[in-house]
Amino acid sequence: MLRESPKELHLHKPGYEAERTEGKNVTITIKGKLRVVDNHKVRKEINFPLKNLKEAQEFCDLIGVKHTSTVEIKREYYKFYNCSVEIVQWPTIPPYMEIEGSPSNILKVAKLLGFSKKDFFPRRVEDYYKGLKKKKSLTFSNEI
Amino acid sequence: MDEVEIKIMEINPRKIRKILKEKAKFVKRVSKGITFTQTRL
Repeated sequence: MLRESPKELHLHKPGYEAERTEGKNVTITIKGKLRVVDNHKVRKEINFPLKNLKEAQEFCDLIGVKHTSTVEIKREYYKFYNCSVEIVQWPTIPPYMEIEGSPSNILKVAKLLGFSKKDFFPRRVEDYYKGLKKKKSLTFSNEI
Repeated sequence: MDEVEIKIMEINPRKIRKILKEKAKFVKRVSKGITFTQTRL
């Protein structure tokens, strides 16, 4: 079930994904099919706001999707060379970083942070840590 | 619009945070968010 606390929602089906981002208001993001181009993750996204988690649940019911898992995530956002840089922490796995922007700026930011193109992972976290796909709930309170 | 994104896994957040605090603009900290995963029926 969706809970009345912050705040992300992911909707998945093969070639299609949506998520709701954190914050006071609920936003659903419909994501297009993931493509990997030159070691970058590329896909179309459409965002729209909803009033609250109850409305989000009703929306999900209407379009015929069901809740499958919950993940708590801690994020820090920075702006760097027109890129959004996020330090992201999930329970049970080491922290990772996301960089979003134009490919040239992403490379520039990555180099300034001490990384190169070979360090880029252009897929989902669950594709890196295969065991996560089986977890129904990942929360910091459950962490050993 | 196409979103272009990469991940760099298994980072040292202290090292990254130190560089970012010197050179980048801090936007916000979301201490905890909850992600729900949904699958089409």
